[in-house]
Amino acid sequence: MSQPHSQAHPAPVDRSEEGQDFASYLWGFVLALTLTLAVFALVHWHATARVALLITLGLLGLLQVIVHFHFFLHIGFRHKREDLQLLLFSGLLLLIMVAGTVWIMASLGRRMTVPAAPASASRSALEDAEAAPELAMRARPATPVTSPPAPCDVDRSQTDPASVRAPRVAHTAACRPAAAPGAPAR
Amino acid sequence: MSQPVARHPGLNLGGAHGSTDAAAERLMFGFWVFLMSDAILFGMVFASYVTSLDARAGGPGPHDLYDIRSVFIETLLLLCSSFTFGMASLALKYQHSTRRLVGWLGVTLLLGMGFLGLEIHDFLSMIAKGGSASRSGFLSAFFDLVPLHGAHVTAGCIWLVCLVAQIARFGVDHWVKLGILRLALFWHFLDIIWIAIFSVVYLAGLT
Amino acid sequence: MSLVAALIAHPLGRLSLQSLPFWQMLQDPSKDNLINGCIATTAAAIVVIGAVVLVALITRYRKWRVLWSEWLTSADHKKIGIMYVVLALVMLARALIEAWLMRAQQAFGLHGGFLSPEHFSELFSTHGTIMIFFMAMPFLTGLINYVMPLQIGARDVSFPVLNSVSLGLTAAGAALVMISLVVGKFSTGGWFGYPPYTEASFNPGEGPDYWIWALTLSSLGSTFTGINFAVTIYKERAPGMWLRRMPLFTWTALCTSILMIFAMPPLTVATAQLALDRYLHFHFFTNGMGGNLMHFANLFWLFGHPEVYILILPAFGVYSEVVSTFSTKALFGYRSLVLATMGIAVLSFTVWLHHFFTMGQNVDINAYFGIASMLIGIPTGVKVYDWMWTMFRGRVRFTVPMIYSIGFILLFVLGGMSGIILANPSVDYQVHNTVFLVAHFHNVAVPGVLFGMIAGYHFWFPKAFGFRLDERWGKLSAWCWIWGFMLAFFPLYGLGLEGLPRRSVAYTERAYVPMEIVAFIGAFLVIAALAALLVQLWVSVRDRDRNRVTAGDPWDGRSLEWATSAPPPEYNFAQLPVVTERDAFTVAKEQGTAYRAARRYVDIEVPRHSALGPIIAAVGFAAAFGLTWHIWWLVLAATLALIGAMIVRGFARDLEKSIPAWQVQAEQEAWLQSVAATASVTRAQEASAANRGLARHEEIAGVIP
Repeated sequence: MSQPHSQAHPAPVDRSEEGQDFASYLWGFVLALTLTLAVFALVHWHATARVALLITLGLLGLLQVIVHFHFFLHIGFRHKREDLQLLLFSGLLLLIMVAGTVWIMASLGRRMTVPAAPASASRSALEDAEAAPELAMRARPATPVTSPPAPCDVDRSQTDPASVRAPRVAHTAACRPAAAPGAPAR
Repeated sequence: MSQPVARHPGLNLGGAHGSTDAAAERLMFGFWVFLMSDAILFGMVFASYVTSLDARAGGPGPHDLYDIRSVFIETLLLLCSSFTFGMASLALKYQHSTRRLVGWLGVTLLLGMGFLGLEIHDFLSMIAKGGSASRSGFLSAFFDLVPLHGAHVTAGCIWLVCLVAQIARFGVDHWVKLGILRLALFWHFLDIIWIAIFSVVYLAGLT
Repeated sequence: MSLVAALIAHPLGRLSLQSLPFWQMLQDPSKDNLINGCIATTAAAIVVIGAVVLVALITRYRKWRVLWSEWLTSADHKKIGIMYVVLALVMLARALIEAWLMRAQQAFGLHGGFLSPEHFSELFSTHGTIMIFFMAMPFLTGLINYVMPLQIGARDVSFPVLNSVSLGLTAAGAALVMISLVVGKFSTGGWFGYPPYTEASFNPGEGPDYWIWALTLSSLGSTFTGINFAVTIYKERAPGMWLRRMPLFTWTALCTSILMIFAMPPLTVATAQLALDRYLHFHFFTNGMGGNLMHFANLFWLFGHPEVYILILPAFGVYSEVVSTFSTKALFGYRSLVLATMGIAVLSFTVWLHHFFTMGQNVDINAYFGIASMLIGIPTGVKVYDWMWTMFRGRVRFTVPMIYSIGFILLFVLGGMSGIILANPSVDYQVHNTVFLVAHFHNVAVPGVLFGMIAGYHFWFPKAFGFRLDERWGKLSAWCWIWGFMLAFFPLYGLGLEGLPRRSVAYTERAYVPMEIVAFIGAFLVIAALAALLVQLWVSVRDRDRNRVTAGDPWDGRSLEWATSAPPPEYNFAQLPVVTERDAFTVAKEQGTAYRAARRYVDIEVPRHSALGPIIAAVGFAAAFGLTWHIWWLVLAATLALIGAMIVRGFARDLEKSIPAWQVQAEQEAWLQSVAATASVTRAQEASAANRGLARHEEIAGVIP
């Protein structure tokens, strides 16, 4: 692979396509601008209901991304196959990873939320960690003795159930954490 | 259009540029692959942001902190800079004068720096209103995502300055051309990420 | 305080005398502190003395110039590949010693053992981190680096200097882990460093920072490597080397590099966010203030699961090459092997949640990921059948790589089955966090990844260095590995089912003791295996003249890397081959077109050496060390140096040197003359000194795949 060593151009360039290339950038700019104005206007003037607005936002955004890919990056079917393949594969992986993350975190958010602290929200993280078992203790006495035993996931004082330092409070006889028989003394 | 198959993403220099066009194929594909991994990186930070929207810990949220006017101007600045970089790419491909090429690059740089200046101003005013990253998980995620994009734009600006310096030293030679082609890909990619940011972070946050 | 003053206020950051390994035992010589302190000091001493001895030897034999100009600054994929493997072997030695120490501790664990819980935690953290990031990744990267360009008929990878930079980053990360033996302590948070334990509120010290920055350096190196390999395979193949004519090892290299490109970003994000939490008081994963540790777990395993397939796919590639070569037969089921590899690559992104079944999400999610995890076992099963069908009715030669392959097939299937068991969330709840899981992943990592790497090392060593490795010591090492692995890890399945949690420094159940003793004996065998491997290398170098194979084809190989001299010239091929079929070299041998002079000799461009790789290694290490110990001026200086190096590189213009045609011709003709003067050997004489690297080609037809 040898390199040209100077600015000398080996062949005169074909200017006939310059118009088309320029048109590509111009069209891309105009379309992207239109989509941008549309979307900002919709939000600024609260044009529709929230969910419909969010969907429209998403679609117009996706459309603008495609505009950029086509008009500025010149990605299309006339390409070496691997360029488009890579883009589509990346898109697929992005979809799996982002959708999977949202699905998992949403489920965790529903099932593992720490109850709101009774005191102010201005504690440091360390105070939070130390206070959390106390929080569970304070919440506990409200449960009458004769009621059915609390399910194991009610105790949310720690967000990491796998932690060795399981809270020693708050487990009724009918619900015990799966403590391993040979757990080491710490 | 009787164009041959494009060798790589972005504007192809075409046969008139000789071996530079041939060498561009591997270099541009490599950079394209790098951008895909960067896209996944941004995707994960987006996912962190979206799943942290409720993690405000009683602190300020989007409605308290986001300034739609500023975001609108930033968006226009970046979109214009994509267009001006396109003009620079055309000046390169069609072998217009070096002054024209550097001129378009310079305008792009100014627009990019305008974007950054405005964005930094936004961050400082957010912090002044109590919306700093250490306030909550939500704000941490915001300050991961948007400054990450800003850091990329900063790197792009530094790269642009280096390319202009190389032009001053070597003229528009083989490596300068390949550098401009790659920076073009990078610049357009950053504008695409910005579309996602203004849609998902700012506009969705303000609906 | 001004910025400058703040930067130099604490020139050594938080480094202090307390960071030295013997300080605590000097201050407070209790029995515990003395034992742990002595072990730590011994380890530190080995590192320091080792480094001093190395420097002394290089100086004594005046090899600095050679080391710098021929190796460290080289952009040749072959040299870089060798350096990666050397790094891997050094780190393997350290991590195995740590493994032995852990087994020793657990053998005496009923009475509390001799290690403190903190020391034990550091051991399992470094053992895991080193084995994954600084042993397995460099090993496979080194093998792919060396072999893949040769197999596709290319002269080098697409971005040779980036290759050197990747090596530098990986080495810098390894150096950081090694220096943690001398100053300070490594993380005690395991190889996956879950917050909030690794947050500043629970672990403000240098441990988690060592871990974060070592991983960051390594993951950046791997991302660039993945990009490099993928572009090389797409763009640098020789004429006629269509994708479906590539050897299986190259196919697995392609899928591995795609996994590297897409799996590293989540790790970068997770460690960066943890660093932001620790350094700038962000709240990604903290307790309270909106932090959520599950974000980390999710991100980490989005990386972590594809990572284990990054580790295993190249090993599968090695086995494909080894099994077909030493069965004297074409690989059975090429298309199914390729499809299975691609299937594994894609599916590996869909199963990550099985690493945290028990962490609170609902049963539907668990079920989906459980099913996906079981599905991914199917393509691997297809591969195992293909290898078995390759061996069936072939003429199997029990060379060292083949022994490892057979051990792999038998043992890996068991490990895979235990994985399918674990893929069931209900079962996983029972054995989660026990040593059953430890047994499973070692069962797939050791016979899978490690045996594959060692088999590849044996298989391609003669190509890289021009002489074969000693077979006797090789077989002894393989035997010790196979039996050592079984003794060390099969008891752990039972112990796990009986309830022994993983990472237990001590336990109170008497019933665990017999199996722990068996496992400890296994650990001794594993150390013996390592020793045998090192002795083998020493003996082979000593006897190298007897075992020379300069003709380049000691095993009757099938793919293009065997069509060159041993070692190959810098430019790989005097004339780029034109490929017409799969198993290109076998086809050439059968048609009599192997060992032909080039039709035309031309000047060949090869990349010039560059100091960028070692510079980025040094600067990367400095930045990481500075960040770990809060030496801010060092961080600033290193960052500026890094940016400066990249800018200066941008101004570099003369990036290639030309090897003149007459030199290429002279080297080629010398090699062809030596081939003509060499006696070819049959496969029966393959292991004898008569084997000078020229094969009398034999082939069993078998079933046409």
